[in-house]
This record gives sequence, C-alpha cells and structure tokens, in this order.
Amino acid sequence: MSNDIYLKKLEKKVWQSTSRGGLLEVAIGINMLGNGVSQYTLPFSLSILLPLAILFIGYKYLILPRTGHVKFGVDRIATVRKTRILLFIVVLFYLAIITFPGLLRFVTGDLTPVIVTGFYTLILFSIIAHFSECRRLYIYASIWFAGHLLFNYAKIQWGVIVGGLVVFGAPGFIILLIGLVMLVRFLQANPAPPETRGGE
Amino acid sequence: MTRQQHNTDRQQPGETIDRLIHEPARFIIMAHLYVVESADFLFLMRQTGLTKGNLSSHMTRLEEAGYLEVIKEFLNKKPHTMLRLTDKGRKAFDEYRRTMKQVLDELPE
Repeated sequence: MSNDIYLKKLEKKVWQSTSRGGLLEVAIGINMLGNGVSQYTLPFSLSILLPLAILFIGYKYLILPRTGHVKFGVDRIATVRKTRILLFIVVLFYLAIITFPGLLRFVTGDLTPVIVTGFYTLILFSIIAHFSECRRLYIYASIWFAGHLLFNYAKIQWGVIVGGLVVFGAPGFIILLIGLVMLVRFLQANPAPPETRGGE
Repeated sequence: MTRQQHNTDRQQPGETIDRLIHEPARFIIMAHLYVVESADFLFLMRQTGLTKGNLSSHMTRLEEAGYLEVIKEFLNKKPHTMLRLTDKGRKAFDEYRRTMKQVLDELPE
C-alpha cells in the first residue's frame, strides 16, 4: 500500500511540475489589472483572450522547451477529459442562464446577476483548481470573487463606485508581480537546452 | 535434508532484489517512467536532477536489459526522442516493489 502511495504522490508531483513557471499568475494578474484599470469595462475579448494567449504561447515557447515533453497515463488523461466535459457543461449552463434573463428572476433583486456571475466564475476556477491540483487557483478565484461582489454590490446597493484599482487593480498587480518573479526564477533555474541531434 | 540443500532451498529475500533497479539513480528513472506513459530525455533530466551524462549511462543500462525503449517520433516536424518502460520493465519494477516490501516486512523489530 505505501508503495502505491509513493507512486501516486510521484505522479501528482510530475503532473504539478508541468504547470510551473508562474504563467498562471501572470495571466490572472493581467486579467485583474486590466479590469481594475478599465473600471471593469474591458472588452471580453481582451480581458479573457489576452491572458489565455499569454498562457498558451508562454507555455509552448517558454516553459515546454525547458521542461521537456511528457505523456501521462490513461488515468490522468481520463481526469483531464472529465474536467473538460465538466467545464463545458458549466459554461453551457452559464451561457443559458445569462442569455435568458427570465431564468434569473427566481431571486428578486438586482444583485442576482452579480451573484450568479460571481459564483459561476468561482465554480469554474474551483473545478480547474481541483482537477489540475493547483491550490493557488482557489486563492485567486476567491480574491476575484470578493472584488467582483464588492465592486458591484457597492455600485448597486450604495450607488458608490469603489475604485476598480482598489478591488481588482491592486490584487491583480500583486498577483502579476508574483507571477513575474516565479517566471524569472524558473527561467534562471531551467536554462533552455541547446538544440541537439535527434531532438534530445 | 542436508545443510547445503536446506541453504539452497531457503533463498534469502535480499538475494532476489533486482540490482539493476536497486541502484538509486536507476530506481528514480524507473519510478518516473512508471507513473507516466512516456517522457523525453530533458523531462527526465529535470525531474530526476541527474546530469546529462549520468542519465544517459543509466538509460543505456536499462535499455540493454530490455526495461526501457526509445521511441523516435516527430513533434512539430522535428525528430523527437521519447522514452518508455517496456512491459518487461514494468513487470520488473512491480516485482522489485513486491520484493522490497517483503524484505522490509521481514526485518526484525
């Protein structure tokens, strides 16, 4: 039994090592900072697609050449597949909810869309955090959720515009900074290997 | 039963340990390859912390024993080398784990 536990821990360590480098923090930091600077009016494409682009391009050209390639076993692939299906269902459900406003009227008050949006984003991040075994995502999701609630609650209930820089910009900047430090340390610790014959 | 016959029949558990896998660096290599489908040289080097030369020599030993196979494939139109445990290698690793567990369980208090 203890042998199996060791192997499971090793597999988990190998899996988690594939998400190193701080790119996640850079992407989330840019998203939050952008929202904070624009007072939460950033176009959807910029606020989501730009961080996603940074994640994918950074992973392909910065991280992967330094960490090498790995193909995981059937269990891990099945977990990744289940995560994608679950996320797809959650996103579909969320799009259905926001597309049909009538569905939101089951709770009275203007805060319903805010709470629903906030919770769905929290659920999305939590699913990714759980299946990718990246606990930092829970913290970032909670920070985002708190800022989202505070910003919109203050606006709707009190008519006060709490500065986007306060609720999103500041935490976003800190997360971005953490990501950049992690990225620099990763690049220093893992220099790009010289090209060799055979692709080794 | 003579004493010689008794000693031959009663094999010590430590004698059945696969010494090829028992070497710490090779054990680490086998363990990492056991928990994944395949990995390239660079990935193994980063995960195990072994130097390029050290990893290469241990890999050669394991390949000669039939525990490890080298797969040449193309990645983004470039030749790429992946390493994978053979069925023989996986069985040998399983057997090694069982043997070690038995040895440790039979250790006196």
